[in-house]
Amino acid sequence: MVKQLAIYTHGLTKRFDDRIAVREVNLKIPYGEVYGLIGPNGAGKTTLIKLLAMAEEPTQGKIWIYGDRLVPNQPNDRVKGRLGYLPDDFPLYNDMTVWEYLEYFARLYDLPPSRRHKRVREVLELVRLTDKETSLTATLSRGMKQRLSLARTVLHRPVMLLLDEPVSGLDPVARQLFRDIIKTLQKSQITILISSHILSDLAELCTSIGIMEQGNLVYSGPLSELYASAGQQQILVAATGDLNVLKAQLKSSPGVGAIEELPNSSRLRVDFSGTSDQAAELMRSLIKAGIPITEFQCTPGDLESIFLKSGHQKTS
Amino acid sequence: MNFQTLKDSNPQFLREFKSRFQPIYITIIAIASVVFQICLLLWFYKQLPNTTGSSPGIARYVAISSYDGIPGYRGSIHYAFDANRHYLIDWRTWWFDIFHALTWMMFLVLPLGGSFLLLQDIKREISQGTLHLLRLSRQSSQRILIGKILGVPIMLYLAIATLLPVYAIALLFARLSIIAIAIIALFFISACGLLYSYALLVSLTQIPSPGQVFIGLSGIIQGGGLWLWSWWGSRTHAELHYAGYQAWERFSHTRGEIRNFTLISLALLAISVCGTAYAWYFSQKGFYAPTSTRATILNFKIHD
Repeated sequence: MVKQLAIYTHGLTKRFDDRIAVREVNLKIPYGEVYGLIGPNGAGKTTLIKLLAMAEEPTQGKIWIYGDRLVPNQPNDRVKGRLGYLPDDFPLYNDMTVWEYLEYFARLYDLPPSRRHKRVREVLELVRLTDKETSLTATLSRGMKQRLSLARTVLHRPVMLLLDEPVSGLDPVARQLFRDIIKTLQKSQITILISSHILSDLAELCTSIGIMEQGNLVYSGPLSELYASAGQQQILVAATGDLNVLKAQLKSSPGVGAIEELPNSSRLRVDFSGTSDQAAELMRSLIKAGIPITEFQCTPGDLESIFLKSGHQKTS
Repeated sequence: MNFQTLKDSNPQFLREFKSRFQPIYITIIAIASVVFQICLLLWFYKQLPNTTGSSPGIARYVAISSYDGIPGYRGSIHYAFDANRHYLIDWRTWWFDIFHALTWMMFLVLPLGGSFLLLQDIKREISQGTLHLLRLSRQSSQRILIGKILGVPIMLYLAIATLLPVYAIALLFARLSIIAIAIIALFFISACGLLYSYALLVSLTQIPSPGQVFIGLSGIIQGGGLWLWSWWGSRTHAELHYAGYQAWERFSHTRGEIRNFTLISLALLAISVCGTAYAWYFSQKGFYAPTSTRATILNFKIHD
């Protein structure tokens, strides 16, 4: 089974003095998956990623990356070649230019001189920093620094990325740019483990989700299963005329939960716990009631609301 | 291995070299070194005796014509004069003292200054989180750490290199034996190896108490070496003239001083080599074990 998984951990535990940051985590991530790790601050996400990236030594438990066992205090050369790690504080050398920084890491990753220049150029284009190659890293904005760190992370063509809070503190434009880069990387079939508090980003990028609470991995599985197990989807309904009539009709329908009026639009967001057939029946009943429906859109739910309703918000 | 090969084969050295070997720093070091050498030579020049007076004043640099007594004990010194009854200057002793002062200076600058710079550098890498990125690279710990040792104190190496011409002239005029120079060089290199390895060990493993013990131990070893130097350099003029020079020149002496000197030097070298090997081995382990405790590092924890 170990050979069939990109990441496999067994009983992974990390203790700091009397505090357990990660508790007996059994993680299984198949190849090519984009795995989102969510949980409140202090739940153990960063520690788990650091353990996988060999930045911390486990107190107990074992880790396999692409079938290779991580041995503490050893070089683990095979694993290192496969791994790209982006820490949450994206460390840089402030006295180097963007090009020098990437070329330095290209040398550290033993990229041959004939390919070094080309590869640095490629990753600069990927993260859209070509016009900044002669700038000192200290002069870059936060978003640029994060993109430069991502460029460093993928420089040696790793098959697995560990990204710890890669979009924290970024403005919406920078976040969108970062998401686009991740999607580009996703196409090359690499396995990505990404932690973030911006759950809408994870919902857009991830195929699987893990929820951490108090150092425990309390949920791990495909995103679709999480939506299904939450038993809830949302319906966006728009209509012309009086929305109160629409609200009244919805309230009297089976499966309908909370109704929220979206500001500055004639739309309602409706929590719906029924099946697809029941959603179709709901739409039919609204039309039959003579309500002028202009939009009726089922969405698989909101990851943030599922997470908040799950009650897994305790820190370790 | 030439410089270009070193640059290509050790990216860490290249990074340290490029960030430090800047024209502004080179200029500062060169100017400081020249000023220091001028000041040193002027100070020693001021110590030369008044050759025309009735008393030579500071007699250390007056040539001796004869000595009635056993070196180390009371005796009469007869100073040498020229045809005009002017004292003759003992340039050899003068250059010996310059050589002695420069050696002290080098011991203070390179082993001690270099290990301080290495400690600071590794601490900075740890605090800004870049050391782990080095761990994750394809380079071995030896390559990274050798790159650090060669690159971080690069400006100190330059400073020492600028002192070498005057040092070589002093050696030449003091007429020291090749063996004596070799022992000094070996002791100097071993002091650098020992202190640099301990600096890496202490900064990588973050072990407070053993680290302090190691620092103390290495201090004692280096202190022993410096004491040896003081012993040789601070002897009286007559002793230096009759026993010391012979010793330095032929490296053999009936009084057994040289034998003792050699034995102590070799013992210090042996301790330095063992200590360096110990510190180097555990600093390699510490490099891959960022959160290692004393127990995991020092108890040879085995992971199955």
